[in-house]
Amino acid sequence: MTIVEAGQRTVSFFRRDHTYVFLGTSALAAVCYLLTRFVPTLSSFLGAGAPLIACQGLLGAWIVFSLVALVVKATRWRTYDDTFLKKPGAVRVTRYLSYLAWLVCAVVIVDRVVLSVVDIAHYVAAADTRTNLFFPDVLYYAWKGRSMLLQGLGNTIIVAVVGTLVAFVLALLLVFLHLNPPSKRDNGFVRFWKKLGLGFYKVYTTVLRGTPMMVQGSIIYFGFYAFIQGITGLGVSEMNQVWSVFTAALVTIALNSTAYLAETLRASIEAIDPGQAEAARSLGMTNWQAMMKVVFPQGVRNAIPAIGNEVVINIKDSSVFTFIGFFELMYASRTVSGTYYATTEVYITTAVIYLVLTMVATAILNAIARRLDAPTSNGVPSSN
Amino acid sequence: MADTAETIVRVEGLRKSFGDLEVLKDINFSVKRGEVVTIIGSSGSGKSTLLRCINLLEEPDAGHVWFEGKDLTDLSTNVDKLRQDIGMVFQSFNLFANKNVLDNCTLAPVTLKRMSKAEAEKVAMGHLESVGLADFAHADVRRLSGGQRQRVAIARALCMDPTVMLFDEPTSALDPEIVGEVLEVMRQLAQQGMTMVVVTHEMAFAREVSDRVVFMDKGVILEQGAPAQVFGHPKEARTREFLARYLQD
Ligand SMILES: Nc1ncnc2c1ncn2[C@@H]1O[C@H](COP(=O)(O)OP(=O)(O)O)[C@@H](O)[C@H]1O
Ligand SMILES: [Mg+2]
Repeated sequence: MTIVEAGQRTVSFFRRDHTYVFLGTSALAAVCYLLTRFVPTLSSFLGAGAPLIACQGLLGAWIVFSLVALVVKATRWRTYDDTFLKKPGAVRVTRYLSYLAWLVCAVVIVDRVVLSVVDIAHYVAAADTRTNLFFPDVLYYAWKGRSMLLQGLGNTIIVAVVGTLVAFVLALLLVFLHLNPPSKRDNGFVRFWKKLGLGFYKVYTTVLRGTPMMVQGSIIYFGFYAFIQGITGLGVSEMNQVWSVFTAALVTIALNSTAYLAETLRASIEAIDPGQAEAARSLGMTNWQAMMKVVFPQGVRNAIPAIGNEVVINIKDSSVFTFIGFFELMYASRTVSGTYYATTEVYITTAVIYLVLTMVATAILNAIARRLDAPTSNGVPSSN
Repeated sequence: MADTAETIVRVEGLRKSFGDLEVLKDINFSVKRGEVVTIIGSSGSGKSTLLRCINLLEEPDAGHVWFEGKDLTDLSTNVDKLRQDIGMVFQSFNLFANKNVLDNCTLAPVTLKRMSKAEAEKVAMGHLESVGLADFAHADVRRLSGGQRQRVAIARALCMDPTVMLFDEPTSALDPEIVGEVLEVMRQLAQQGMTMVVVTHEMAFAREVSDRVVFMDKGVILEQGAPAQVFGHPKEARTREFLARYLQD
């Protein structure tokens, strides 16, 4: 057997039905089998009698069957397609058996993992003190701090989503400044304004992308606070109505994202083949018409994943508004942490909430992108 | 062509440089109504730039371009308006990727001619019919073959009812076996009396269809004349050299 042959054999071994039908399910079945043996659950519905033994038996049988299939494949790889395992009936039965294995695994996981967590949560919710066990304590503080955490979560979502939507509209306006380059045929007045617009675009995107959002938030919050108070002479409580940290956070996140989204839009517009704009111009359309009817719709569509990324980034990065005292999720976590003298236990919950939030947001945004027939993104985007 | 026919395009003293590279050096050139002119020459000789200067997709550095008596290079001329009457077909088709075949054809008429959508579609269907693509009216342009795309591009240009059509190597991006279907459409157009300026490397087409052949070399028009004369008895050594290379295969 040559090395190439051996390589091909190995690849085909993993690529064929073993990937899903045997390898994955038998590994999962093994894990679930171990769960039934070593992880007890107080309110288990499988109990210790026949249902449990049936589950264990089925899982064990599936693991043995998978092993047999593996051995057959390893020894008879040349003639594997002719073995009893590849008979059409057998393939179908194997598939159904694998579904059964999945089902049993699901039952075991609910019984052992989900119910355990529920048990602990129940216990913890009723408890008056911490348990001094790490995982139960995470749940304990999450439960104790739930109203603050939920309030923080709500503020985080509002600021991230509304801020990005406002930013999108502003970014559209901003890129228009970039799409209208001054031309020889404009009169002096128009050319002046176009140049000014282009200059503004460059300065704006450079400054807003070149400074941390935390600093921007501080300048915007404290700066406008002093400015408005200086003009109006309002007292503290009235000032909080006119210029709250919430408003400041929203304004900051919108202005910050505008810069990023404008650059994203510009890049995806510039990525559209210039030949299309040229064709539009050759038909007699103005630069503006060519942009609006041909280039812009395609550019915006290609930018949709990046717009979604911006929402996810803002969910995470709005945590910097803790610094100006805005009650978003991070600030809420800090408050819970301070109230109960617990740190890691609380921040684990915070991390889980952020993670779930960004994953849900990504899923929703991808679904929207698919509906709009735009490219989708994968993974969680990195920070600005 | 009768000498009395009206001149539609006149280019005078045209110069164009890209940085230090002088691409067009004092070009004088004109096209009469109904005339089919082919421009030949090796790659880099400035053919595309000349064509693109005719509808001012490139802004000339010096010289004038007159179209139906109006000077396009005059800064007060509404170039966008005049371009409506100058059709152009590109080597790379340049169809609008976000629109289907029919919408590619109707976008400009609806936007610029205040035509109703229905009216524009009727006109477009006529042109799609003549290029043999009526059945593809609602197809996504990304699904079409190169030859089909180029025929859509021709129909799209025709929908503006242009006075003159400029073709920049319309078949150079196509597989040899489908070049013929595009040339056939162009041949029909020529027969219907369309004024055409065609940059091409299809020498058989140039010889058969055109009224005049222009040979460009290094930014100048080196010689021009009837196809029989330019192909049969080229005056310039460079022309002979070029033709020898092209007529071999
Ligand atoms: N936009 C441009 N910028 C810089 N150089 C260009 C541009 N367009 C064309 N050129 C150069 O001008 C020369 C002539 O180009 P072109 O008119 O396209 O020639 P042809 O169509 O005869 O092949 C080439 O050397 C080409 O590289
Ligand atoms: Mg060219």
